[in-house]
Amino acid sequence: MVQIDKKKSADGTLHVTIAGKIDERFDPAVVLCEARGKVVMHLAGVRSISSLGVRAFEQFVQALPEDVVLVHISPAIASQLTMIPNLVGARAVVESAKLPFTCPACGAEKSHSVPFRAGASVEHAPKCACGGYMELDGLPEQYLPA
Amino acid sequence: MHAAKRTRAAALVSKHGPTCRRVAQSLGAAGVHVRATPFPSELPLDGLEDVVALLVDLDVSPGEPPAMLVAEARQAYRGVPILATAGVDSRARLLDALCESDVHHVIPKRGALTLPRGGMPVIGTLEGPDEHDLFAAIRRLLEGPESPGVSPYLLSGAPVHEVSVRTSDDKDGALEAIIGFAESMGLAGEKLRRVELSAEELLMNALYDAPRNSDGSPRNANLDRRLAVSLGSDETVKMRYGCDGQTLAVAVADPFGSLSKQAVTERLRKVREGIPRPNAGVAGAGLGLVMTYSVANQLIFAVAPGRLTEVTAVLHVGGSNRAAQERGTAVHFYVGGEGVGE
Repeated sequence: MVQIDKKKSADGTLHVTIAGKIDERFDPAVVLCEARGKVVMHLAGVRSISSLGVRAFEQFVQALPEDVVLVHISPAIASQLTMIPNLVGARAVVESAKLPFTCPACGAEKSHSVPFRAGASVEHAPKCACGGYMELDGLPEQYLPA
Repeated sequence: MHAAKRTRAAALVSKHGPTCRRVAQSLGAAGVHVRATPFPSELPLDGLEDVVALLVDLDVSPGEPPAMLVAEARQAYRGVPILATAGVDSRARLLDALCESDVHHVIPKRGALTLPRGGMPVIGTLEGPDEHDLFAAIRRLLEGPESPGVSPYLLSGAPVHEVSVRTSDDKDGALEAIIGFAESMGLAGEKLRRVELSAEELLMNALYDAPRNSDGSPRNANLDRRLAVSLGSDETVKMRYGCDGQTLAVAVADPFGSLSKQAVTERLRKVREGIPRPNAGVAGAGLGLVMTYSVANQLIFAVAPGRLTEVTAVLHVGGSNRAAQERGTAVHFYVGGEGVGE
């Protein structure tokens, strides 16, 4: 089940928050009917996406009228974007990914947003409460561009 | 006087000490004596009888196309199942071996490339292929249908749960069951996502891609995946799953036996060649197997043509998500009477 929330900012940008699971039942009509200009999609809450959801998401992005910005994409979305680099085409810009980090010193875990580019998980690694730097809990090539 | 018991044997081509030791230990535990040579040109090995498996370490010649290495070894042992392992560029080279030659089993070495903080790749300590993976693979080759489903991949005694699926509603219920099971163990985040993705894609394949009409033609493959489907009462799909605290395995078996190695390798080639876009239309997106491969640590296909297909995903859930990803993905394809569950 997916939840879609939307809010229009003062400059006319439509901010869309999608959370839950994207699968073959994903229906973005509530967004498409309102999208007239720039759309910013907040995707940190997308916990999973199936193979059919990947196609539905691609079709959704392609159907949006203007430039699209994806922010704080979840690991589920990030892993699909690295597998299929053309998934969102040239019209969508992926700004950031919210990825899992773990502290090698104390084992603490947290999600942290980094720019969606190569090396970002190291350059922007968060600091742990214990004082050490956290590390990406995964292979960078699974979640970030090469 | 007892007649001498014939010892089963395996030939190994490798010059990597840890690989030779792990293979010898794992296969030895399964009653298979291993002899190794660093050179495929030295095959067949003198005095080696009743050879039940041939293992080829692709790292003996990392610059040589895997298909050529395999072909050279194959000349010495025709008709013997081949297992390939690699640590150098393992993902690409093992996929090459699986897709471009008659290798039916690929197992990556443990401890391959690691990326320390700073991003510079270094070759860590290559440890050879995982002993449990090797042991399960060779046992299944030797012992056939005695240990079907997920049991070969879990510690003995791990409870196994079973759900029957015939309809799309059943599929949703099965997914809820395995997700609930994973959550009850405290799995969350990426570990939970991997479990859900694997189970869902295997179930969708069983409901839509696997079913055949009486004439062998695909029945549901071109259906809109948003439409509910229902299988016959004698076409029940079974999902089995279990976890031993470190490894979670899910197996989905359908009674059609329609999967071929070619169909699997056609899809896995996308991993090597890059996936341009999902398939258009309303039928399958052509991504399910690739996505499952990307999250599983083992993918096992067992097919009795026309009778049974069982696909098992094995996921390491103990330790960190990164540790699981670093293990890579082993792939095994069993056909006919070779290790297929009843």
